[in-house]
Amino acid sequence: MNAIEVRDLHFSIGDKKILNGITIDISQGMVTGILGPNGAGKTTLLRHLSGYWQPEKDTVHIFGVDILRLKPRDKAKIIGLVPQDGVNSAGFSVFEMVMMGRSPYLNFFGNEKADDRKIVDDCLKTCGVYDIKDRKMYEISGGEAQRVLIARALAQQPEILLLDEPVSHLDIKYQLEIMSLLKDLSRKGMTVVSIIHDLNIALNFCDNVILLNYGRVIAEGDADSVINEENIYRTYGVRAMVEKGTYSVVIPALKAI
Amino acid sequence: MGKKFYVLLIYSIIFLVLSVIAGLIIGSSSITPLEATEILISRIFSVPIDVPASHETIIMNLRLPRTILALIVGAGLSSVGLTYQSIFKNPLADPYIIGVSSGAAFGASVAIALNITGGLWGMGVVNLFAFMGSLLVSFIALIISRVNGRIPPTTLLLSGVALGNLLTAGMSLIMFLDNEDMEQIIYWTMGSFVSASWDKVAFSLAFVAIGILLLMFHTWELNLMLLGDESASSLGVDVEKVKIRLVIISSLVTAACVSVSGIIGFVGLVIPHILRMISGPDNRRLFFLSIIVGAGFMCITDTLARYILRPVEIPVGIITALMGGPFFIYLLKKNKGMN
Repeated sequence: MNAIEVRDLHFSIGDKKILNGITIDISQGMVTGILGPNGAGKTTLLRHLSGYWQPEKDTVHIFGVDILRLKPRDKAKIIGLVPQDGVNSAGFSVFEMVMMGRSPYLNFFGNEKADDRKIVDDCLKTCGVYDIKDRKMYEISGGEAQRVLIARALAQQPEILLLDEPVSHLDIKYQLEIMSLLKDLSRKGMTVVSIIHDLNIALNFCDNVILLNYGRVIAEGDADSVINEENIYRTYGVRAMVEKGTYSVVIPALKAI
Repeated sequence: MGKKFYVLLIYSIIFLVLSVIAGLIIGSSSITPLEATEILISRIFSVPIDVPASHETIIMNLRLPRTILALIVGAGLSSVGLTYQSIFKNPLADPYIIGVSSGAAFGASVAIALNITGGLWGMGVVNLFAFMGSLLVSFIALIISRVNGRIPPTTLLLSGVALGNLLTAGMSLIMFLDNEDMEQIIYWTMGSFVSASWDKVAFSLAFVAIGILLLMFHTWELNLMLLGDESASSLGVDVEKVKIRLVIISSLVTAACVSVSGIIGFVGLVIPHILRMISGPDNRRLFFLSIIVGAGFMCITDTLARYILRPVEIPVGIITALMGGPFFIYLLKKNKGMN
């Protein structure tokens, strides 16, 4: 079954066309990577999937329902988001930050119950940040902060997890840890959609990838078949070698740009 | 909520009560604090006492409405300041950030320069023009900053700054062309409770009380909005709707405050900020603390304004601004918490 279906999605800012007729299906319980050069429209696409930007009627469907028909709080119970600018922490503690993920279930004053605290603790443990839950967000490292934001999204108990470049600024160890975490989550049924810059990460952790450029889908399908030398050249204008194996690697030919 | 919060709450309430007592018993007239206390007690418990009727009038018709007006304005400005700091994600935001004060000043100067007489609900024309002026600026700022159906905080802020400058220029032009009224206009822009009356109490209380009540229901959403619009939206906040609603409520509250007191700076900026440093970023706690401390602070500064150079009054805006400068520098040096 498809968790997300996008049909002929267009979006412009002023005269500039950002998305130019995107049609994609994102399958449930898979890790789907969104790839493409800077300015290809990846973040814009993700913002339509999260409902932050409202698409036209009948262009984005979440489990068969038009996203426009979902109320903000109901949508937050289905879709969790780890945004790129999400590290604005305002001085909240790690625990408070993750508790905010419970918002769609709390009343207007954000009163939490024992249940909510238990769910938050579980999410903190899943993401390996339980031990630092009383620290302030500004006291922890970038890698830890990223995992806290994932924990916050998990506290929403969503069925779909959207992430905007979750590993771009992290060192290689954190990159692998976070991608493994996402993979584990998807094996438990979560639909994971993530913008990824690193082709090697995409190749090794994504089930499916969507390759974007100029607001159009250049290629989509399983990671192994989409990330090939021809598609890399067509999208990025870079010659590269792709070697498949237990660990697949993309090696750019540095002089052949 | 933690124990620390309740301790802070109790301190705030004590501060408020002491400020109110100070505001009522201290003043420039020849009434001694003891006499003032007697008058208040006699009124509360309806015991007849032997004081001159004029003294009783001063307390009941001047100091009491004035103190209450200061409380209302202090509470209104602090709660709006807190709201704006969260919406704009900017610790330096205050109730006037979208040009409201310039709108009010422009409205007031038009009324003063044209010598319009009359009034409504016991409010003078100057007050009503200031009210309309500040509301108009808020709504124009909201309208021009709308891009693609949403209102980016930075655009709203900059529209406000631009409009503010425009109207300040307008006010300067009026003062330039109409030298006679210059003093009165300048005095108005410095803020004062000297013209307090029961009518003004009623007018401002209507807006501020309802406004505060409505803002209170959004304190948790304000926490989420601090994280950024995209995060707030993903956590179930209807960001654009809430933002517009909060700006409209805040504008009404600010306009009501400015129209009865002139432009009093610093309160809406710094009270929420000091409290944030002490109690942390949670708007649910900050909201109540800001209202209580803001009201008390306004009351105490007004008492100082009346007392320091008695019998001459210093505009209270000068006192708050004098405290604002040094605090701003301190903030710049120690600006960590929000970033």
